[in-house]
Amino acid sequence: MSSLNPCRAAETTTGDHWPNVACENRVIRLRRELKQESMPKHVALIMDGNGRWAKNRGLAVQEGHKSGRANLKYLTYSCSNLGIKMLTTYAFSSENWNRSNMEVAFLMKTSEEFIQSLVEDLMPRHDIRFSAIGEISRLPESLQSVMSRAEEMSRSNKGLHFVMAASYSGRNDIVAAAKNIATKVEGGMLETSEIDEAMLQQELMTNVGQFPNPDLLIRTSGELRLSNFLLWQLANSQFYFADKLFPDFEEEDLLEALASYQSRASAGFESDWK
Amino acid sequence: MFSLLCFLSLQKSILERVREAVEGKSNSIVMRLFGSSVSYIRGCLFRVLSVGPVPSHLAFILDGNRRYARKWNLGEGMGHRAGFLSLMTIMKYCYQLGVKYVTIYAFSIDNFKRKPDEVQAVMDLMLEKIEGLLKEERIIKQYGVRVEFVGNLKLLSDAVRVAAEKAMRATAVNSRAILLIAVAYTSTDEIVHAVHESRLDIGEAKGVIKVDDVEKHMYMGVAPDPDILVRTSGETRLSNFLLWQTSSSLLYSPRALWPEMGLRHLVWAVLNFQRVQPYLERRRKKLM
Repeated sequence: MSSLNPCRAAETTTGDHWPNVACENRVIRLRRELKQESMPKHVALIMDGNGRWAKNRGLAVQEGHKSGRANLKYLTYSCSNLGIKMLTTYAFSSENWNRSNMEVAFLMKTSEEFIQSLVEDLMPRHDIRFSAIGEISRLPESLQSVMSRAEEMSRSNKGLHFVMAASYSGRNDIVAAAKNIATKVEGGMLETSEIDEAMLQQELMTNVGQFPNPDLLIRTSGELRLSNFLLWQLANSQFYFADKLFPDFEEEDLLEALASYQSRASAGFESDWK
Repeated sequence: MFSLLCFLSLQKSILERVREAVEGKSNSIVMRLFGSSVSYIRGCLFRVLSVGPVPSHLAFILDGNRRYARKWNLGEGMGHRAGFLSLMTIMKYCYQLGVKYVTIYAFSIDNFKRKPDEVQAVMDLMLEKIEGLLKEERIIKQYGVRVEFVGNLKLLSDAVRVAAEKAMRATAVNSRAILLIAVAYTSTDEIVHAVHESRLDIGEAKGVIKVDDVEKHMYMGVAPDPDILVRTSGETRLSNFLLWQTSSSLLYSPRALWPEMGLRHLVWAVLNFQRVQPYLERRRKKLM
């Protein structure tokens, strides 16, 4: 598996992630058990636990974020191989601006480096399309330019659509959509009574992709919250809460999450109450 | 210690069912003594839990009634009846613990899409339950419960809407504890309605809609955001319930079906809440 995956071979973050034979067999078995036709089209990912991972190893928080970003690249590669059409990741929330300036600056730099490596490495080989959603104007200039360049370059790509939610807040997304609609009403293009769910859905930031609503949300590090991510869009999504911290969340865990999704999908999503 | 507590709580839930099933008929003296000692132990447990932060708002998605009926080979509507008993019990535990707001997801707008006779059966059931709820004066008077019906009430049949309004009026004087029943509710509909209302509020003026405007017009504006959202029967979906409000709520999905929900699940949820609460409190203060 390590020889098939250029990401892992090139960047040994901690050097102790070489999968052993038992682990490889498990991955192969899990991959075989997954059904392509019931694969979720859109997976959302909350990458929680970088700080705790670093603290557990006595490293600085920055090391945790670095390791997390490397792992994200690996997971993007896995998702692309598995045939998932869209992957939305919660890179930076509006609440994260409250962290220390040093950490925020580091996060911005790592995001830039990540997008660069995506453009150089994965995009040409896997036809990955990149989009960024959120209050992009709050981000530093260099990051904004990297993002817009990556978006421009990959606009016509047909592979996995990677959406990075930076400086994003689910509630602000909805309010921004409401503001757009209100502007249209003021402009006379719409009547107030014509506002409905479909209209609001179209104005949301996630409308950049073909499948705006995630089928599966994965949150790592065992926290059982949504933390203001994609609130409207998660109306009928399946949640999967993994106990592992994000840098430890490997392909095996991703496959388990997908297997859990598929078993529930086959059982039927019939709402059972009353 | 924990297993002893689990065992005790299991006993309590069986006992509660026996008691509810008997429904007011005089129990033997032994049963009554046992019942009151169990209540005392439960009260002690709640006092221990109250040492830490107690959630002020719990939301429940009552999933699994029909599966329960199928599992125990009960009749057609018996699953919902069992669910109703379970609801009374859980409400009692919540109010005893000191939870002020309890929200339940009774009927979604998506359920209207079912077959007309099934929808009618549900409407009749809801009518029966609203009247049944008002008859449970014991719990309502004891805990000073105010009942609020949350949702797009215009979509309900007239009989149900009138009964709902009657229930709201009858309990409006109470304020110690509040029960919010979400009927004809979906979160997306609630948000669109709030946007509508905010727009109408602004009217001709060229105002800008803000987060506060939208929150003000939510049906759920009468209560703070839920601290814990519980969906029984192991399903891990929100199904269009309180999407806006559960941004930082603890999401808990026990495997038990709703009629099987007992004290131990509640205790587990509250303990988990107490574990994360300090971190969330610190974050909230930073944002303010």
